[in-house]
Amino acid sequence: MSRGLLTYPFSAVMGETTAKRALMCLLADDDLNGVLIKGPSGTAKSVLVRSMASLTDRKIVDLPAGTGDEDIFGGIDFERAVRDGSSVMKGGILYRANGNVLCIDNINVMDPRTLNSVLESLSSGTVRIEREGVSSEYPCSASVVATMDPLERDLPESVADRFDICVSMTVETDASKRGDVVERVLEFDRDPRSFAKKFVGDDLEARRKIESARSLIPNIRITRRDIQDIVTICTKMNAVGHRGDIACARTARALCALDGRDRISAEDIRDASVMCLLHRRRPKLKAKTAGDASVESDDVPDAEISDDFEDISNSEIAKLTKMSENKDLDVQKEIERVEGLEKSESSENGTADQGDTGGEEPEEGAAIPDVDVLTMVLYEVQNGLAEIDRIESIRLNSVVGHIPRGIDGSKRGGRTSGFRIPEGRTSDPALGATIRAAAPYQRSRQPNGLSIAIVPGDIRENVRTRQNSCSFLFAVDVSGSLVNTGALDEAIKGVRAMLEDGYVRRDRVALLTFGQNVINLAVPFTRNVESVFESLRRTVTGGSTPLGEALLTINKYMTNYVRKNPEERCFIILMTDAEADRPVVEGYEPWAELRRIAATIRIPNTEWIMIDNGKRYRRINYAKKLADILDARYLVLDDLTGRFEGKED
Amino acid sequence: MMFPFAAIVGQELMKKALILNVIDPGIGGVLIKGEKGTAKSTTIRSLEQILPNKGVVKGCPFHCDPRRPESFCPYCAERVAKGEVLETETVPTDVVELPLSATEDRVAGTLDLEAVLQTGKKRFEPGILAQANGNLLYVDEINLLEDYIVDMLLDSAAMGVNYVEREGVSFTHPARFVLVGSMNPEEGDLRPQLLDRFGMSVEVKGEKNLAQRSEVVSRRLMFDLDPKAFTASYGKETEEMGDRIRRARAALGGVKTDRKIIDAAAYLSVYFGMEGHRADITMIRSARANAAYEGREQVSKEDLEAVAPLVLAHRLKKKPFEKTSDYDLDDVHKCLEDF
Repeated sequence: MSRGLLTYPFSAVMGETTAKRALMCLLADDDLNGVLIKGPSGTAKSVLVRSMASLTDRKIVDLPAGTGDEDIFGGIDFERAVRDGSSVMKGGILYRANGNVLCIDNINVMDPRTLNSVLESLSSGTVRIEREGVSSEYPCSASVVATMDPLERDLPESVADRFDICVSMTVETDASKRGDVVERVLEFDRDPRSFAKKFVGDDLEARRKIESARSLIPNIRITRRDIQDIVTICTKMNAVGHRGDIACARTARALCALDGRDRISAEDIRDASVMCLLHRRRPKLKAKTAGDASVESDDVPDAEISDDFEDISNSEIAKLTKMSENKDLDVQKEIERVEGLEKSESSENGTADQGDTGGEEPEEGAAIPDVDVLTMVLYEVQNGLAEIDRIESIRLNSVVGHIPRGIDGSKRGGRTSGFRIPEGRTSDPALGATIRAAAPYQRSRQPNGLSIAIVPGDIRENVRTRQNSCSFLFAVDVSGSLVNTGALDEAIKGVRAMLEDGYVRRDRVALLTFGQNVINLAVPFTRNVESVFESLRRTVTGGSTPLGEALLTINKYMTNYVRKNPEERCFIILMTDAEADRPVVEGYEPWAELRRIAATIRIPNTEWIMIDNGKRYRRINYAKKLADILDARYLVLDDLTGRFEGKED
Repeated sequence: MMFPFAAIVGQELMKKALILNVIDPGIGGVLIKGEKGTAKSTTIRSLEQILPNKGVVKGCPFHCDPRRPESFCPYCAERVAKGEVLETETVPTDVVELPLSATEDRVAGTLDLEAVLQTGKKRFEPGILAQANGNLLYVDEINLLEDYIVDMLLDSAAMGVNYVEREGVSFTHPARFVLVGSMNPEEGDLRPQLLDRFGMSVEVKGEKNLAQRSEVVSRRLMFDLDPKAFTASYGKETEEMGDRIRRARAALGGVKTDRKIIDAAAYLSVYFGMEGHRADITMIRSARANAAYEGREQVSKEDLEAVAPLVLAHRLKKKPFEKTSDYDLDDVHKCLEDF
């Protein structure tokens, strides 16, 4: 928030102690490479980040969402090229961010490719660009602060892991405190200048703390016990990879320094753990809030996790050792020792309590872990994180798995994400890129009265990307079997579950019901999702299951639809127990006929998903067999709707 | 000729939402949801007739506000730095419309291609956000606009500034405007994060009352028959409305807000499950604007009650894919009874 050049002062933000401390740590220790701030809309994330300006001389450099690569990394300085023919590179936003603080708002909405490149450059400390045959590089060492609303879209774990610290903004439920916030904001509105003056003192105090922390940090020793404790906590919290341990150690040290002390305390470790592990816990732990159904399936593939272990373990462990300045301390051994402890305990009595060392002899010179303090710290850390989880949201587990969105390289529309050399003529020229391509050659060209002469070979065209939109056709069996088991509600729940996992705003849905001897295209493709639910609720159930005919109808409808919407990804969600009892052609055996029909169905760009709503234990599982023939993903309705257990509808 | 704003039948909530935003652009804009044919676009475009005039720096392509030198565009700032005294002039406030197929460079502004080709120098070519500065920006069918463009509009409307980083051009200029969006909810909703950034929302339905409905038709027909005469017959009313808004604007700064009203707004927020603080802040700003419009010096409970539904409606949490929320806005009256 700002009125003209005046930003809202850091100390004027009420509450949010954890977030504020995290930002102060970031400013105090250059080795801490980033803070990720999560929180719902309207909790002052961006305000807090911009307010850092009052704590440091470093500039707060914005990286707006949707910025093109040229502007982020840099490109040819065409003004110079035109002026004196030289091919010189000009750095982009990252160039300006060097030595400063880089701010990325709504990082979860950023193009993943670009985001990866940005984070790569930042972690390696150098930006390398190659344009039009010219290479260049420049240093980019910056502290990063990113904000996001976790309910909107989650950040991939591999990206989140690059941020040392992750904090969550609090949602204030006390009406009186909320009133205080409103009063302050109104005051700022009325007279930003005098408002800012009121907080100058506090801001200066914070600044002083940061500066003295900076000089204190190199002298703070991280003891063997500190490392033990940290590693224990991280292991117990199932932190993936070793970045967490190191981030924890650095943060604890920074917190200690900010407080003006030179010995790390248990509280420092506790607070650091909460800050550094929020985003690093392995999925199994988080899944405890919702159904445990197949969490392993589509979450972080194992390959990714083990890569982390390999890449980081040696060099980063070396860093941990260095930080402790105790050459005798072999951190690798410590980690293994602690992990070994855990294994022996859990095999003994299932509860992992740090106190029981299982009869192992303490190593020579090893500090005996302080049972009480560490247990208490661990308990507090677990509570702290659980609290944040609870507040963050009850994120329904993806039983189906995230439907991956492709990047549609369509020529139709969407935001520009780069440029390329066109084949033949183009209708969508990239102006800046074209000029940059032409710039270095000006010396040798006829000006024609212009400063820049462009020849056909210079022309570049835009690469536009927009997220693929998806279309979901729900084909729901509303025949007699449904009425008997009262499962229409279940069907509705199943539809809802599918949509919650995969639906994104622009997607389309359609509803086809079959039963009662009738195939009914109840809702043709529409963006109005409500209509599907309304229609289902009004559906009359009963009668036989004309499944074969339904498949034929679906085939016809979808083939047509796909032809009209060639770039759409389509999903057909077939909800049935596949107990076909009505053949298309009189006299045929329904199942045999069904198999033949299913085998002939081939709709392009379309994925089938079979949701089996039949009884669990049947002699022959027709639904599974049908799913195989259709090459469909097979799910059981109960798994989908299990998430609604215990919730009142 | 535009149908006179003062002659629009009913739609009191929509008119009030728009008027309050004109009085205090800090409220954050209006999202108007409604079926086709409910006078959404007519009302918004006609708003021009009652918008007050404003002072701008003469010759500035961004119509910089001479009362806010700290927000001057780079050109004005440069001239001031050189010691120039900037001339001002009075111009009307416009309703700027965003074209349906607006692309991001057209909205935010981009590299001035002509200048580059002719002089080899980078120049910024202003876009629609530049035009919108100091005015009202109307976006029809806002739910069909690309997300990132809506983001861009909301960012600028909130911060009052447009930061441009495109094609190697870095430029910043003031962009203070009232954002008004209209949409047909049947065609899909906006993301909740975008919704939260709209100050108010109004749901517009066709008139059910027979008498009102007839009046709508008969007035329209009279207007079509003789636009000039019809508009003239509403001349006095239009002028009065304009004056009232002007007076409210001037009085806004002096409106007193008792802490109890702030507590009441906070209470409403907690009751209706608001997470962020935007709802509280917006309710108070709107209540103050309402008080100013009614000619009062102190914000009253009635002001809050009048604006709360406008501010809360689009922020109520709904279960995914539910049409209505579990919360009922009629509870607002109950909640405020104790205050």
